[in-house]
Amino acid sequence: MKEIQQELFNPNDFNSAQLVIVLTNNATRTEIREGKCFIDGVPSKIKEDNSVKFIEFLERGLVIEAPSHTCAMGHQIMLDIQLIAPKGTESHHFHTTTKVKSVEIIEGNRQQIHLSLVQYDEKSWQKLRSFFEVRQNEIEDFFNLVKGN
Amino acid sequence: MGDTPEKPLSEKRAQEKSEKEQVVSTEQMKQVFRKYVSDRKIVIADEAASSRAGLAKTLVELGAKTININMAGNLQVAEEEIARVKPHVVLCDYDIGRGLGLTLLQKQRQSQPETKSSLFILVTGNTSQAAVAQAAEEDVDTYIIKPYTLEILRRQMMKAAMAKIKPDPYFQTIDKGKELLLNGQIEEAMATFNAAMPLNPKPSLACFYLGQANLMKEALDQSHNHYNSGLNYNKIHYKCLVGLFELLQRRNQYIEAYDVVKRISQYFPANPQRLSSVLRLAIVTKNYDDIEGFYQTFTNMDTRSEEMIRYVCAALVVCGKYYLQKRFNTRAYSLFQKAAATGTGRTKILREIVVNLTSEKLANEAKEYLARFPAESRQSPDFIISEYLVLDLQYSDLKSIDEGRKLIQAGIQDAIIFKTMIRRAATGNRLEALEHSLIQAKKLFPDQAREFDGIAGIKP
Repeated sequence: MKEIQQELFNPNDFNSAQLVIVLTNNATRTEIREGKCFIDGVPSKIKEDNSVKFIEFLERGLVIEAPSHTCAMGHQIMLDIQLIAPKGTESHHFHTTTKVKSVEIIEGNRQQIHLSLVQYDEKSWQKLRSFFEVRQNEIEDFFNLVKGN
Repeated sequence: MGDTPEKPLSEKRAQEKSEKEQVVSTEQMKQVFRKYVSDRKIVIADEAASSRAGLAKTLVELGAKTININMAGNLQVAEEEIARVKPHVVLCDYDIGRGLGLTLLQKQRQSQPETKSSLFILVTGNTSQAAVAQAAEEDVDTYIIKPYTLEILRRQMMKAAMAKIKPDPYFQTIDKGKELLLNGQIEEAMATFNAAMPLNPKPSLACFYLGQANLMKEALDQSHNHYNSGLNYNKIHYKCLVGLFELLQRRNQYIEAYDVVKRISQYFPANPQRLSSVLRLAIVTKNYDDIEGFYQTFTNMDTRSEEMIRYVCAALVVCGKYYLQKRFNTRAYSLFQKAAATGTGRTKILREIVVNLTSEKLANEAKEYLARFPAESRQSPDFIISEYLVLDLQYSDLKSIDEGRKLIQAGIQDAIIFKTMIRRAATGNRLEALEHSLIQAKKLFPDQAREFDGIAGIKP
């Protein structure tokens, strides 16, 4: 029966990589984790979207979306990024101190933040980037195969 | 550490030429894309505002006009925008709120039937193979994962557009063949697809359309051969796999069809309708062990859609019914338990289990499942019917018929109630009740007339 299970479908196919991000801004004494915002260690009572989303890789930085008032230009932000990969692929932990290069207020009480890496491990950074590059290439190859391109 | 040895001059020149060609072709791509996108209407659907803004900015940099870009932060707004704007280009996330971005693809196709020049691009944080496979199945133009680099974003968008705007000779020839096929010019279409074959080292798509053309001519053997040829070039060519599966079903070659649909499921796992095909064929081909195997795999999945749950539960119940009929009661009970546990609170599943148990007169076991109906469902038809079936096992003929009549008068007009009344009237020799029940049953359920007659002992 195990052979049949492996043949039919792989439950792992339904699992996506997850990025768990903890953001700390010492200037505003703010920490954002697990969808909650903490100021001086106390959870904020304001009901809003407190997620931190990783949108884009820059060469030596990243673009994220975070709740409003998270930071301002010039602030130093610490990011702890946990990449939880589907079973069978290696998960990864990347920690960095960054500097806020620009902040743009966007709708829904959110900020788009451009960060440049200040303190980080190069290998760890490349490993994080590589996971998504490799996956993108795999997807492209799969699409080409499926469609017969 | 020594110096890297100098490359020969000829190799250097070849490399420079290749890089120059690459730069030229990227430039050409940018120009072509700019021309394409400059007057196209675009909808960007993503919950994340910064994602929408970033995509819009990139599109503008590549030549789109800001005025032509429409944003949507949720599925409903996206659907409205697509209906209003009729965009050629849609960029959306795979998951939009609780909804599926792929549903927008159908909306776009309805609003913009000219699929040759339209683009549907997924830009998403969902990296799962199931999502990717589903997108490929639906013929999405490209799938870009977040977080992306600008280079990848631009490259993927331009490549997708180029494939549509300037398809290579192979795809151009196939497109010509498709048009001929649509116009019913089968022989000309086949000649065109044959002409396409040498234009690609792995011409699975041409094979697929040759298969389709032969299907239209009712040349099923040739159709079968072409699909297989396509799969020899590329074993996961989706169209060839599905074409072959549908042909095998049509030819009632269920065992072979089952093998093919299992293969499709392996590469394209996310389609609930296909899961139902797999489960149905597992039953038809009596591969009941496979259903239990499916269930094991299913329970290991983190995300299970409502449809998948329904199909798996239904298959477990059918499997259980089979084992009951074979007198493998313990196995049957185990399957019913799994179905009830997986389909927690789903009254249709519980009702089917009760139907199967009461048909084998297993009153105590049926009562157990009656007790599992949620409190809030005790007034539902599923519960009331299930209760009737359990009580029927202890009623006299007259009482059963009477209680059945009350339910029908109360508006619970289910075929199974009639079947029970007809059976009891026939076995109790209550001819008037039998005639009355038959007339009423056939009037309400004419498609089951034969079955009612069969229960009543009336030969055709």
